[in-house]
Amino acid sequence: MKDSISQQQFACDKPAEPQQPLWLYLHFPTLQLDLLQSGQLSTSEGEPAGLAAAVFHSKPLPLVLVNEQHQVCQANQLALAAGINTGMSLAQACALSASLQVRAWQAKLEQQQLRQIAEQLYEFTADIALAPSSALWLRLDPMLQLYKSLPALLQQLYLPLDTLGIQYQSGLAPTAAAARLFALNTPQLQLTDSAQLRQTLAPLSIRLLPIGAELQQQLQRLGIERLGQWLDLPAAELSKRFPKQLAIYRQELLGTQNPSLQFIQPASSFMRRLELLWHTDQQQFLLVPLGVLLRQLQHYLQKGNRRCSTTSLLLQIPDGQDVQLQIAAPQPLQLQQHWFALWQQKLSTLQLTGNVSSLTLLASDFCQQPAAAADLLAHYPSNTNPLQLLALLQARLGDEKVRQPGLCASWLPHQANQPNNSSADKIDGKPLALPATLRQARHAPRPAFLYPEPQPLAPIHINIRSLATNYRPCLYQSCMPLQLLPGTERVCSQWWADNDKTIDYRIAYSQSGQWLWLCREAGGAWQLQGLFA
Amino acid sequence: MSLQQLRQQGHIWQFKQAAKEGETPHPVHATGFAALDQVIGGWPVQQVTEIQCLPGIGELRLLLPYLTRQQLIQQERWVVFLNCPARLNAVFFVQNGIRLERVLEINGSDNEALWAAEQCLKSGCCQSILLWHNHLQIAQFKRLQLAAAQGQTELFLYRNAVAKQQHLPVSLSLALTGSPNGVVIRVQKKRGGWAGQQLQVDWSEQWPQLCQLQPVLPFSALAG
Repeated sequence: MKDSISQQQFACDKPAEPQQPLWLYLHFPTLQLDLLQSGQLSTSEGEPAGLAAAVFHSKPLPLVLVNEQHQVCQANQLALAAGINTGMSLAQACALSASLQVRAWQAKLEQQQLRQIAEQLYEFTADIALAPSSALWLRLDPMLQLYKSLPALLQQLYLPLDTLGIQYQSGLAPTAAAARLFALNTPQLQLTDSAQLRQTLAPLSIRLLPIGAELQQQLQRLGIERLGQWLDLPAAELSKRFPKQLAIYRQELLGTQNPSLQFIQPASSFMRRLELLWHTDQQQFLLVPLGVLLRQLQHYLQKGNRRCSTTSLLLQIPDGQDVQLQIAAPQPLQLQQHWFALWQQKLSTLQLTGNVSSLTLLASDFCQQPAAAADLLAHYPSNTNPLQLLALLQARLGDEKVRQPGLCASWLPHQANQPNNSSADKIDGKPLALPATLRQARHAPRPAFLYPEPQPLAPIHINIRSLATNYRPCLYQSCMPLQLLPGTERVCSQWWADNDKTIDYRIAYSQSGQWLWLCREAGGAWQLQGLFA
Repeated sequence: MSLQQLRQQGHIWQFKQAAKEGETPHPVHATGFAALDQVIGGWPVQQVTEIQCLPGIGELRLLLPYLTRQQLIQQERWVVFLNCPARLNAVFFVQNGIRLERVLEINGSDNEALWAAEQCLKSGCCQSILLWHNHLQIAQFKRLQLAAAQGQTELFLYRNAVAKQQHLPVSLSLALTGSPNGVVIRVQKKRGGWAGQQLQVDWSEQWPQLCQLQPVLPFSALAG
């Protein structure tokens, strides 16, 4: 009895048959062009309608990308319909369409975009390698067990590409090299059985091999036109007549040798760049493409169940100084709408000096912190939580205008009052208590308002605002003459400190009823340090 | 402007609007000063209160008992100081029992202050907002009042008594003048009540250091 159970268990534990290797080759013929067009589209709610959207949703125009030799290298559907083909010269293309939009093709940017796509697909399969000329190799067989069937996995893989509107050619084969051949030659073919590989490859033209013109010519001189003929050559003969590279390629194609590919590792930080189809110096037009980037950020964060508390935006201005903006939220955020609300405020105060050509969004400070729990039974309406409000204020006004008063252990009153640069850990930390140095002064009278620097005692009709531009006008028309309250308080800072000070403080009462806090450094004149409000 | 228009805009209060017996009057928060409570009842809940004064005559001390008490009840909500005359002194607030973790100080232009005030009021996560603003238009004021009601927040508007200003349809307006032992308060307007009363709040016991004017030393004595 016992034996039969263990046998059953053994049967269950028996490993499944090893999967045959399966490779997908994805080639993106018009990657840069597709992303340029898709970046401007907004497909979800929560983005501003009106002017910005109207511009980006206006009638599509024929668009081409030209390379350094002024040849068309990518063209959209409208341009193709106008008779423009890749390889055509720019002048010829312009002659065919009056409304043609032309952008430069950038090899480096395309490489970046390819990597971004690879990182997006990393969610579905971890073995992804960059192939030359904007293409990717994906190894599918390890993930088939999870997705149960090949169509289910392919559907997942193609979904993000279709959402972005990227055109692709795919090839599926038991070896990476064969997948590439199929993608370029017979894209609809899906070959999963390695036994049929040789047979399927046989009728393909020898010109498809990525081996260089010279070797191809050499093969053709021998009368080899089809792959089948080449595959039938004995290996010894092949290596005698041709360079080693060709023999290795044949082994890779048939799967007898593993291909040497550079698999990508996803970056630990988030960076997305978006080229703008319309160069603009109006900040409200930036909100639509920024919304697209923030949605990608939300997706990225949700995948890892993470939040991030810092995002920065780099606006590239070709004929001016690039602009870098940063928002550090007091609490980590995840959703697009939250970040979007902050960026909306941040951008509303921005003055652009030139046309923006691209946006780059970077995110850092990731954490796994769960969302703050809201109180269902709160007595007060809470459409936002306190930290959200703080983030909103800081985004619009900047960190220096939104402060939290804080304490610092110092004998000198103006040094003890240090703004607490609001960050989440300080706010949610322990309640601030008086430091030891201040505890002794607990009962000493202290004013509610302090000037960071002592102000000269203003004579009649002088507006303090002209002296301390940061502060509100504070009129002292009638503050003279002053009466002094008894008692002088003398505060000495540590003698070992760099600039040790001895300051006398007195309380004065003005005729109009204001209590002023006066200070005097040794030998100096009395100045206004604060107000007892 | 006709009488009807004035009435519609809430500039005229009629005696029939007074709370009848048995009805609950407009809700208020206790000020913490018994003499003041007798005259004005308390700080109106979710309304705008106007305080006209010079800076530094005790305008903040008048709110201290209220702010401290509300902080105990509404622990998570902010107290926001917008465009106050100088930087807030943290030591003063700790001495008087106000938790600094929930105090925000915002300094900006007049427009930025109004924007921030509206955001804070609407958000519903602020218990009180103290705004120093001298040139508030009626339209701007009404926006703030609506936002205060929406977010269930009290707004205290400090204005300079010296500047010639237009009257705002506030629910309570007080004018403060200095006094050696405290502050003299004159009720300029009270919705559903009488204006014109005057009283002195005495805090010579609470803050004796400020109220010991005898013997008086003239300022010129310092020069010597």
